[in-house]
Amino acid sequence: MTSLGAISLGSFQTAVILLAGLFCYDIFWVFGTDVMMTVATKIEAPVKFLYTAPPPVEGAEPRSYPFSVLGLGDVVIPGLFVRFMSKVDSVLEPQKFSYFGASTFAYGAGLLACFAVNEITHAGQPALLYLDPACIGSALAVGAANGQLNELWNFEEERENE
Amino acid sequence: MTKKSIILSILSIRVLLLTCVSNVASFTPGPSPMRRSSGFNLRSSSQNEIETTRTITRSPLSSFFDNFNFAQKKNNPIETEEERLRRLKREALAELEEKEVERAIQVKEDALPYLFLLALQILPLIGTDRIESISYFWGLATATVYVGGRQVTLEESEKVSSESALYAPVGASVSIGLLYLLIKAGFNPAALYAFGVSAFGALAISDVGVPLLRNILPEKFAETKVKVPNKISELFGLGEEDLPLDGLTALILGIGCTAAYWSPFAMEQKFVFSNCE
Repeated sequence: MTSLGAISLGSFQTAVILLAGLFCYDIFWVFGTDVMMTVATKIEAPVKFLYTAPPPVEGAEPRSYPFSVLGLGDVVIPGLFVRFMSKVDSVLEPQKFSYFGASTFAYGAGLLACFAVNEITHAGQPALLYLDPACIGSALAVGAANGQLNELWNFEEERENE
Repeated sequence: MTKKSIILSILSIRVLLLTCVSNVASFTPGPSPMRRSSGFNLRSSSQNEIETTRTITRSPLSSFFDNFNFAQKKNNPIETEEERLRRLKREALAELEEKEVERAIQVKEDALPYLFLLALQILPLIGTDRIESISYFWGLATATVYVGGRQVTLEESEKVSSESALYAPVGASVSIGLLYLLIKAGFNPAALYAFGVSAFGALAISDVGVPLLRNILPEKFAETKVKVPNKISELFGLGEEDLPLDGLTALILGIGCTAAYWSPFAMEQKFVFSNCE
């Protein structure tokens, strides 16, 4: 939560660049290699959310890592975007839909989609694959619905202070 | 001049005089100018009423003439460098306190999601099935993003430039690649890495803890200062200032969570502390 307050994305285009870049990064390291899974399970540090995994079914092999894991980056990176949307709300003052409300909802829906795929495939998922398109897509959709797509795309935080 | 216009003139003069008197009354210094100027106040309404009554009962005429007390103003000595530094420090502390009040108000507004986050920590005691773990992760992540997106910060956030955003995946890839290579080489950097991250976690808990504590504990708690022993003060370069009790308690909470994280128990028994960090 502290990280969300310490960093600001500055402009909508910067936010899109960051989220798009980390979208590719997450997909590559999770699906393309075993690097992300190895680091996530071998390094025990408070940089991830843990939950005790259920005990193995009788006769089945015990799990190599006794926790379910959600990476901190899967909360912080989309969280920075959602926080940025609250600033967009305060400057653009949309008449129809709130950017912050829509992106928070999109984040929750994206995370649910990620858990659903994880449940079906039983394979580790790059959460940003679902979260980044959900957040950016929701902001653009709300921008279009509010008739502020151009203002949103060119939004820079500096303008708020001027 | 007609009778009607004379009455209107008298009325307008009365209104003008009343406006002047009320302006003078509103500029009367209260017991805490900093809090008044902030527009946010955690004091009870009865306290506000007492202060308003005090302001109103003061003679408007004497308040008015106070503004023209030239003799007193003339006798004010020129501020020395030491006094200026003290004043600047006072002003910085007042600004910080103003932000803390804003933060506490925001936490009060978001009381439900904060309570939800607290309630989620009981879930591991209820069960460890898949449905519980998904509910835990989903609730924790979504509520954190929501309250984190609405939080008030003490300092201005650092802005990410387009160049930094462009190179962020490259930097992250180098970091994760190095960690992977170290693990594969048989060297486990976990302890060193975990130490640095948990130290940051302790500070983060103390930062988030202040507005939370201010909403839970009595108002007096936010105003109390604690005298720090000279040796500790010198060690950390704290100067002669007394430390605020709320900040100190939040820091102790953060250190407590870090100590619990490093305690010699299996991670299965203490993972909630890891999540808090």
